[in-house]
Amino acid sequence: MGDAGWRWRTIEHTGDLGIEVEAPSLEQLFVAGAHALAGVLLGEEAGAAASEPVKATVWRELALEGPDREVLLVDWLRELLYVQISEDLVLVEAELGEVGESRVAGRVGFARPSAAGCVERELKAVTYHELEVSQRGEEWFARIVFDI
Amino acid sequence: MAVEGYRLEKIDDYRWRVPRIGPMLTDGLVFADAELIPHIERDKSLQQVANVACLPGIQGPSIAMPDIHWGYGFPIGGVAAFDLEEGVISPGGVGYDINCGVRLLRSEVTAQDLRPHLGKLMDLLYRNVPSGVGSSRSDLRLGVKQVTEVLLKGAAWAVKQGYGWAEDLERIEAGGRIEGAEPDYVSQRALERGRQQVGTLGSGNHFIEVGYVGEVYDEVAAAALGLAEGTVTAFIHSGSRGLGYQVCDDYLKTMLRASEKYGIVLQDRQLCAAPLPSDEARRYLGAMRGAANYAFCNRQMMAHWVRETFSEVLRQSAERLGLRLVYDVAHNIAKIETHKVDGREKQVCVHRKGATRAFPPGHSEVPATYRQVGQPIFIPGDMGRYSYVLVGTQGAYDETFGSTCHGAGRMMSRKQAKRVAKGRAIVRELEDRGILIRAASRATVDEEISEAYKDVKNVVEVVHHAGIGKMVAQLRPLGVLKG
Repeated sequence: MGDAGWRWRTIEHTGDLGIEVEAPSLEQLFVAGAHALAGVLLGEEAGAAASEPVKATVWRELALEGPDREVLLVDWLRELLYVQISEDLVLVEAELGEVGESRVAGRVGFARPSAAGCVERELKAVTYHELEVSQRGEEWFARIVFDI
Repeated sequence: MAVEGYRLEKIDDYRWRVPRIGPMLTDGLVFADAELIPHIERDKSLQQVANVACLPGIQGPSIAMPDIHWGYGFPIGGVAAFDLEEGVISPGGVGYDINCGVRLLRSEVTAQDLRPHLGKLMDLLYRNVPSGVGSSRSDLRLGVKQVTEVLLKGAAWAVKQGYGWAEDLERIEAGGRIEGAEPDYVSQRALERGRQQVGTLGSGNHFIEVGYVGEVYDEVAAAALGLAEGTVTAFIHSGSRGLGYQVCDDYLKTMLRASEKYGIVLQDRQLCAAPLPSDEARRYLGAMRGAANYAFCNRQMMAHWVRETFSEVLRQSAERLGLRLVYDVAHNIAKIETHKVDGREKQVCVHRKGATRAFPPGHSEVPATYRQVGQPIFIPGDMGRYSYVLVGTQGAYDETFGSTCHGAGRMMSRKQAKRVAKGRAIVRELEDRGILIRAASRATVDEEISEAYKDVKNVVEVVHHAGIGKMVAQLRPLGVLKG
C-alpha cells in the first residue's frame, strides 16, 4: 500500500453487516472507514483508495471528541451516516488534519449519491459490537459492525 | 472481554443450558431441538447469551429462543429480565428498531377470490405504502409538535386522524400506547427523522405480506382470532424507523458513559447499560417508550392504507371485507412487568430483543376478546414458505417472562445469501410458485431469500412442544411487498 493505500471489505455476520479496514496510518484508517461506510450504502462489498475519486460538491468542517479511538471511530461514522440520512449526501473526500486518541477534526467533502452510484442499503446504525481499532505491524486495522 | 469457554448441556428435547462460568451471574437457557442446535452453534450467538448473563441484577436465566442468531451485543432472539433496584437497562437489549413488531389483519375474502386481483393489489400496495431505503412520505410531513403527540399517544393518534378504526386500539399490545413516554428525552435529531417517516415500511427484513390461512391447528383459538381456513390475511412487519434508530444511537452514547460511571463491567460495549434507578435509565425508558408508541402509530397507518388498497381493488368497503385487526405485538422492547421470580411475584424490566410477548389465557393485559385463548403471537417465516399464528401460554409466563420466539432466524449472512442468489431470478422463482413479490430493491430480495432463514416450522414446533407458545394456524404467502 502507498501513503493513501487503504482498503476495506465486508465480512460475514449473520444478523448484520461488518467491515474490516486496513490503512497505513490512523488518519488514513478514519478516511478509509468513511469511504467504506459510503461504499456499503452504495451496495459495494469492497473498496480501495482510488486515483481519481468523485469530486465533492459540499464541504463541511467536522470535529469530534471521544474517550478513545474506538468510540471516536464509531462517532465519526455516525456523524457521516446522519448526514447521508438527513441530507442525502455521501462522503467522497476527507482531509483530516487531526486524528488522535480522543479527537478527530478536518474537512469532509460530500456529493449527491447519484454522482457516486445509488444508495442501495439502509443502515440503521454503526454499533460498538466487535469493534476494534488496532495497529498490526506497519498497518492500522479496524473492524466495525453496522446494524441493517 | 467476552465470556470464553462456555458449554452447552442438554436439559431435555427442547431445552439446553449454558452453565454459569466465570463472570456469568446466571445460567443461559436455550430453547432448541437437536436439529436447530448445529445452526445456533455456527455463529457467536451462544457467547452473546453468556455475555448477557454477566449483566448486574439479571433475574432467572439469560434466555434464547430457537430463532436465536448472532446480533450486536444481545443475541437476536434473546430475553433477559432485571431487578428494578439492582438491575440495569440496556438499549442494546432492545435494539435500534425500537418496537419492531408485527400486526395481522384478517378478512372474509377467500384466497381463491383474491387470486385474479392479486397482481393489481400488490402493485397498488407498492404505490400506497412507501417502502425501501430511506422511504418517506412526501404527502405527510408532520411538525415536531405532531411527532411529539405521536410519541405520547401512539396508535390512538393515528385513529384520531382517521387512520383506522377505534376497535383497533383494543387489539394492540398495551392498547397501542405505552405509558410513560417522555418526548423531552428524545433528541431533536430523532424528532426530525420522525417527521417524514410515519406510515413507511422501510427496508431490510420489513415487509407487508398478503397471505391466507393454510391450515388450522386449534379450531377454538383460530375462531376466537377470526381466522378461517382459506381466508386472506395481511401481515405488516415494521418498527419505529429512523426515529427509533436515533433514540437507540443517542442513548448508547449515554449508556457507555453510564457504564463507566456506575462501574458496570461490559463483555461487549454494545451491552452498555445503566442501573434501573438511575437518571440515565429513566431518560432512556421515557424516550424508548415514545419511540415504541411511534412504531404502533406507524403500523396503524400502514394498516389503514392496506385496508384502503384492498377496498379499492375489490370494490368493497374494508368493513364489508371484514378486514379487522387480529393483533399487533412488539418483538424489540423493554417493559416493566410483574413476573414470578424464585416463587415470588415482583416487578422486573424484561428486555425482548427479537422475542415476542406471549401472555397466557386469563392475563389482564390480554384483550377481553382473546382472554379465553391467550394473547395472539405472530411468527413470520421467510417470503417463500409460511408463517405461524400462536397464542401465549402459562408455560411462557412461568418460564420465559411471558416471551416466545419472533421469526425464523437468519442462517446465512446477507453476503452469503447474495452469493446463493447470484445468477438466479428470485422474483421469477417465487412467481412460478404463485407468490408475487414487489420490492424497491433487488438486493434486498436476494438478501432475503428463503434459504437465508431457518425453516420457521422447526422454530415454532420447538416453542409449541416446550410449552412457551401454542400453535393456532399456518399462513401461506400470496404476495410480499419488500423494502
